[in-house]
Amino acid sequence: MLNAVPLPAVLTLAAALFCIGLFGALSRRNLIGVLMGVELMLNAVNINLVAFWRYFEARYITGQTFAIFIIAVAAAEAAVGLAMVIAVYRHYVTVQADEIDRLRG
Amino acid sequence: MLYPIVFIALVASPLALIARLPARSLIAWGLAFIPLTLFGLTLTQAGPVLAGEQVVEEISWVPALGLNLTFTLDGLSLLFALIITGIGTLIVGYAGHYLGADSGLGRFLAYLMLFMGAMLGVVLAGNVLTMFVFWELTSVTSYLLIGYKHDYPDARRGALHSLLVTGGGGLALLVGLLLLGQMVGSYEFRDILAAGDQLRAHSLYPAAVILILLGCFTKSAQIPFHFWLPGAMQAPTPASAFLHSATMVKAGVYLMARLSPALGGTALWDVTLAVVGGATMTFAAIVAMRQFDLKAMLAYTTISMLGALTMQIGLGGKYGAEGVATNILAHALYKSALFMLAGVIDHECGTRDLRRLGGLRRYMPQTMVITALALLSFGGIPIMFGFVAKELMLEAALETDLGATLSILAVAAIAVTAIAYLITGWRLFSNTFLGQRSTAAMQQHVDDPTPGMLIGPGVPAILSLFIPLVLLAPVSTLIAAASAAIYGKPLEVKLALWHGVNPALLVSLSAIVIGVAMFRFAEQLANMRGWPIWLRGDMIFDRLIERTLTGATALTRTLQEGRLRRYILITALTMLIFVGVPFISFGLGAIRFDLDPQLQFYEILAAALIPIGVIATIKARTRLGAIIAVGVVGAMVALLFVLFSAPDLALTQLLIEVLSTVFLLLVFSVLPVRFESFSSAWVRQRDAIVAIAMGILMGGLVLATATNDSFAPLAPFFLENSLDKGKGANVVNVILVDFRGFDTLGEITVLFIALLGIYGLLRLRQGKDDVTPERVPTTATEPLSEPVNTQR
Amino acid sequence: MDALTIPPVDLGLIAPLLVVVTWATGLLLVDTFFIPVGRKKLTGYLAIAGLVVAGLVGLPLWGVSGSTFGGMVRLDPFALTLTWVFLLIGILSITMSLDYLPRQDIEQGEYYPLIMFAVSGMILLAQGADLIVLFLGIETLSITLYILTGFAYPRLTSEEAAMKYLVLGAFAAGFFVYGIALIFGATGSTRLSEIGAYAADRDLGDTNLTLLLGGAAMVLIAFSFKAALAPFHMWIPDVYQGSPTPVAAFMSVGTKGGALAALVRLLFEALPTLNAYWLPVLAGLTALTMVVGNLGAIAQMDVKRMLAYSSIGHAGYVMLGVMVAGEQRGPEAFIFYILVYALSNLGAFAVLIALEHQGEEAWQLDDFAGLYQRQPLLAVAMAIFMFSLAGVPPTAGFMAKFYALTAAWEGGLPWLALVGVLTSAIAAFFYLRVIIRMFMTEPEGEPAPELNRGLTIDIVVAAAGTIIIGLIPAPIFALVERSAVALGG
Repeated sequence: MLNAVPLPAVLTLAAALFCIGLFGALSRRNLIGVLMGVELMLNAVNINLVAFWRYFEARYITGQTFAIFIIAVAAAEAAVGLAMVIAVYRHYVTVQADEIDRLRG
Repeated sequence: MLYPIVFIALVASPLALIARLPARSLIAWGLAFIPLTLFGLTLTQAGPVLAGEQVVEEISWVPALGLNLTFTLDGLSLLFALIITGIGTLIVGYAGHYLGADSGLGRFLAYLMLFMGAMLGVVLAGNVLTMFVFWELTSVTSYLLIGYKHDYPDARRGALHSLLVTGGGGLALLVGLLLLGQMVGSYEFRDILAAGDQLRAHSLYPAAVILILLGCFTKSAQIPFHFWLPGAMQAPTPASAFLHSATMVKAGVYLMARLSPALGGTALWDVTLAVVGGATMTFAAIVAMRQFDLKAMLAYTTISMLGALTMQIGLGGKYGAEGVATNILAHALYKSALFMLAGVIDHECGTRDLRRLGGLRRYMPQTMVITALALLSFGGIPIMFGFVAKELMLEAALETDLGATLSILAVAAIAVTAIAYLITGWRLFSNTFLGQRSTAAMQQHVDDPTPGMLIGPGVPAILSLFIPLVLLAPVSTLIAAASAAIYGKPLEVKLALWHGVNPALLVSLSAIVIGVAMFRFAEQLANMRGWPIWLRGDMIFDRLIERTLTGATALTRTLQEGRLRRYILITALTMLIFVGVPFISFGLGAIRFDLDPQLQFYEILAAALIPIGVIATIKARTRLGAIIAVGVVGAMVALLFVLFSAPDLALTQLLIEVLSTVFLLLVFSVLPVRFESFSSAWVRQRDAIVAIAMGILMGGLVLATATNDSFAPLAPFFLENSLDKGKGANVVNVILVDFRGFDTLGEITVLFIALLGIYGLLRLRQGKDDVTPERVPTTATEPLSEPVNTQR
Repeated sequence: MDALTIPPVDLGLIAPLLVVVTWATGLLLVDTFFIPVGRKKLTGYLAIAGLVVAGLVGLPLWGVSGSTFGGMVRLDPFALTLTWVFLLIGILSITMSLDYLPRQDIEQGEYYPLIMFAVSGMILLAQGADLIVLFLGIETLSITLYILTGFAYPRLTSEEAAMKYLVLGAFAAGFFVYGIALIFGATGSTRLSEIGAYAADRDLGDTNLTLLLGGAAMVLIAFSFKAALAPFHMWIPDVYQGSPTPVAAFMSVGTKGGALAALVRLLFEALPTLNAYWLPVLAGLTALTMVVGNLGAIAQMDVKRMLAYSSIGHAGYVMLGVMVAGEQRGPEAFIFYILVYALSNLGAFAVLIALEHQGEEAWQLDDFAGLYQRQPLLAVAMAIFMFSLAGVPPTAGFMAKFYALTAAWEGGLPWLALVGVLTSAIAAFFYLRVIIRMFMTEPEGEPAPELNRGLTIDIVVAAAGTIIIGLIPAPIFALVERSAVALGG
């Protein structure tokens, strides 16, 4: 693999993933959709990290370790987020991001 | 001995709280011994000062910031310190009578003492920053005093004005003083005063002068900032008498006088002061003449006199310096007396409206005599101290170096002011004591107050007569020392009632003649109404505030519209600019992209499936579709990790992916089916443009750096050593546990907290979910995959 | 590197952190199994005890400088002093929660350990010398705060605030990790000192440096988000207004202190050679922050929301010290400002709590009408806090603002200092408006404020601190002076 796939291709893939995630976060009205978009962005970071690690820094494994952290922390964040979506829904009876705007000004 | 003088008042202020006990007026006179002691202490220091020396004391307070607690006593400080403590003594005693019925007297006196300490700090400070700290402390304590009681209809507006004007001016002053310190390299007054030539030649000189003058003009109520002072008059009368005539408002004059040897002598300083001061003096005198409220009348005459003092500093010269010092003392005496008398009348008659007063000569003869004395001095009638002061003012105008035009204008302005003062004084006196008692005031029993209450106004009023008759020699010494500090050089001063027939006397006498002749038109003058709007500083100020408020409100309403996705968009856009700028400016040239032909089909598959999955996630119209698509992305990322020989990572990724999918399914089971709603088409296009721009940027950024080859792969080290040293067979595990134990601990904490949070969020909701949703989620019965068409 | 060695570990250097984390974990168990519902105040007392112990454990570490865990964690006087400040913030926040939670009927035992975890995240940020540690610190702090923000469950706004905070926070975290990944790709390390060494060897044309800059920009944005710099401040007003008042108080000083402490390290250990790039950007952000925060506050009639905007403005003043932290005076001003701001702002929020009754929001400007007549001491305390926040002497706020402005002026940013003064003039307006409302208006039947022991202690401590530091700042100055020396390595 190391010799087969050039680094730029992987990095481009990651960048594409990041941006599509961003688009999702921007254009989804549904709160869960927004959260999913953010999750995709984090996945992109992991691809980056692992690619960098594999190509440049296999000695230290910092990249891999960090990727694991991100996976875990992202999962934690997503879990809290989903729990919160449920709570919001019970109250506002909507999960449309734009309808939750009592706080403003 | 200078420290104690400042700090006794500050520290003793809580003592004043005992005045909440009965026999309040007696206690107040007892408390008056505190300022009296300070007066005495100041006098003990007077000897060397009057001989032309300075008393200096210094301790470092915050050396890191150049803040030293330096206290200096020179002639100018001495004059002010004596006025502050002397009048302060009388005010404290007077307040005991004025507010005797009020249980809040103790608190009032405590604030008053605090204010007195702050004011003493201002005039004794030998360091500009120390002075500034006390300067602001006078503002702060004055708010407390204003807030003590408020019987003014416009109370809040007035207080807002005084807060904003003096507060903003204070900041300007701070910057000006900082500039001064930067130019001189020291914040000590003595260094600044010694560096006059250096300052005047400095390029920052105009900026510093303008900022400092802003601070002084606002504090001393010069046009166009004069409007806050009448508004501040809702303070109880003892506070008005002390703060708004004798002391606080003179802080600006004090600072200008103090700095004039260093900053004066340029057209910018001299002409500005002369013109602004002269205009304030004349304008306020005319306005004062037309008031019907006793305190408002006195407030405007105070503004007028502050203008006169400012003007004299600008006119400069020997007589200017002498005039400033003499007028400060004369004004402090008669004006504090008049304010206290206004309080007496208000106290006895229940009103201070000139239209409702009258005929009090029969009921309050003692009050009338004292008032007459104070008014004679105010009007500048010969043999009173006010006359001596006015003569010096005229001399300053006649002898100024600022040219014939300004000299003539100044003399004319003084003459007009003198006439207006006379008419004001006459209106005050005749409407209060002469004529018939008005029916409104008739209902109340009116009498001279207890003698204790008349001591306050009586002493300064009588002094206004005694100083020129008996005490002229010692007072001359004091004035000489004070004016030397203003002039910057020692001065020989001989105050006198009679200087022979000179231009000043002629102007003065003709003004008196004209003034007295106009007494019969006084009420007509007062009843002419209507000022053009541009003269109403308070109205302009109000509009300014209003505009700013509406502007700020509109701004926040637009920016902060409460919608989450707007916030995300703004963040993303800024991000784009931030990362884009360095990228475009530094690294565009290095992009290269060469796809290696030896790709395996599974690699292509993984790489292709990820974007497809992602797009599917984003576009998914059903919830199940979205979940599946997210799952595919996760699985493909895991596959990618495998391809990169990171199996542990891949396993973790897969595990988490499975968990997330399960969790998402669970969540969806309690949420409504509706999922697919997107933004409108153009909004989506906008979002797409932002995202694509970001994509190009990100892609370009990483591509630009694909040349990096500075790290040699050395994974074998970990592989060889992990079993041996880390006692583990799985490299990543070993690293997590041993080599990066710390962050792993942190990570576990994060997970733990998240768990805790979810538990809390869900458990909390169980028992307390008292809000019934309007729309009951129907998901439990509906299949997850059912497409729903509720496009919004 | 000939042999792989497991890095030596010196737990002593993270003693306060360890105490907080283990105490919080233990407290959680104790709370679950031994403390009955309705007596959860006991948990609060134990949490305070834990924070106090953590502070005491730090005492012998004064003057120690060292790294452990392979250089990922650093202890120096800078970190230690900030740790103490953070512990103080935690203690004051818990004290004001003791009565607030039962009054609002949201008392749950885990609240107190959560605050402790948040404090541990802040300490981690002050001690972190590695991007991964900083990431963990930020996440520890953030996830805790997401939960705490949504703690006032029956209130709709609390839910909304939590949701907004979480989504935006996760979004910012995405940028943060992407930035770290890029920095890692550019330099091959996440260790701040190694990044710094790498950057020092390269010229600005180097492509890796470009990548480093791109990554750094993303990380800076994430920090700006946490520290509420405009235009990443959007979450602040909504989140502060919606969250339980003690949580808003804690957040206003906590996230700022933590995130900016980490930013100081990042800027001056990893990126000092690149300051030609980041300084103008951060200076621009700071100016914008001061303007937006203070202008926004003018428009608010809701005092809690006003304090939220004001906290944005204050983030700008803190940044003045952060940006010039390469000079001795920078970090001094930073620590001093955080401490003073913590006292004044926590005090102001405590006053808000005293006015807040169950289920009611008594934060409108009109709710302060005539407070002086109703509860003179409370009004005077609030006046002290407002004066301090406005930077009026002789309160500590003046000293702090003066210090920060001097630092910026001497550090080569005089124009920014002037912006600071101008915006302070704007700020005076809305702080003083509260004072006028309290002192100049007649009360109109507002209920009497509730002052219980915890709140009283909080308010008295904060007010006394604000005044005493304003009058006798020399001891604190001496402390921050010595704390700032070790920076810049």
